[in-house]
Amino acid sequence: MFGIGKLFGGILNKVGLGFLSPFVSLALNFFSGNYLALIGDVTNLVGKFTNSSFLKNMSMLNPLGGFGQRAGCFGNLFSGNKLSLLRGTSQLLGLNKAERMLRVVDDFSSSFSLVKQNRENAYFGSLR
Amino acid sequence: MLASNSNKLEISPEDFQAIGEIGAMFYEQGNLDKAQTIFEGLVEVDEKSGSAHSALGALLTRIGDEEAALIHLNRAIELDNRQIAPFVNRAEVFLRKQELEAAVADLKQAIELDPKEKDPGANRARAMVLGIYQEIEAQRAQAAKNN
Repeated sequence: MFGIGKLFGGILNKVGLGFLSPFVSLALNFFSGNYLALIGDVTNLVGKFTNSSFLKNMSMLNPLGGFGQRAGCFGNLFSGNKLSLLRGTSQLLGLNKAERMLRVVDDFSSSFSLVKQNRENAYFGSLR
Repeated sequence: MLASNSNKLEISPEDFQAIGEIGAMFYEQGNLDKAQTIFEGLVEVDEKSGSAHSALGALLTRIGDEEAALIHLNRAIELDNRQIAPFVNRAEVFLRKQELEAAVADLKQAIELDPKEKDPGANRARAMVLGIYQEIEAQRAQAAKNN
């Protein structure tokens, strides 16, 4: 097993998951299931860790899944009047949550376009 | 690429993903109200999107709304059991509810989906397992001292 002994102090605290410590502690104190099986499962899992480098590449927030792997350019989502059309359709269909979502996206697109425009102005201004 | 049949607004997959990424950006900035609005909207648009349920479940886990989080995390797993994130987040919910066996089972699933230790979500699961292991060892040491 890799050098867990070298990890001084509470590992959960070290990696920003300290808030879970009391839950783990309580859960173990009041555990009524098969304790040996639990220890076996946990020990087996830890035994397969090759080293501790994974701690440097872990989600510090609850991971989102598919949307967390961001390309970051938003494609042509903001092109034309696409968002307006979608908002209209969602209103017609009574999709209130979708309409609220699109309002947020629309607001974001305005500030995104403004930032982009400002950057372009700064860049082309510097070329003159 | 056609939108899925369950997509009520027929938003293209590219645009659906782009909206989700805007939600992710708000989430990472800590602007959870806007992130939640976006993820809830995406779930309404396409109830069969595993990514949308996973993201909403993650946010609800983060804000401590455990029962609502479980609904979406369970649905995310039902729709796509190869996603790592819902297992990691559901494990956290189970830990908070002191359902240790269920938590460890989900952490195990998340870890096994990432054998090369590359996924940050699976690595979060590994850290949680380490934390549980340390706590077990600490309690054992204490019990030995008391005997």
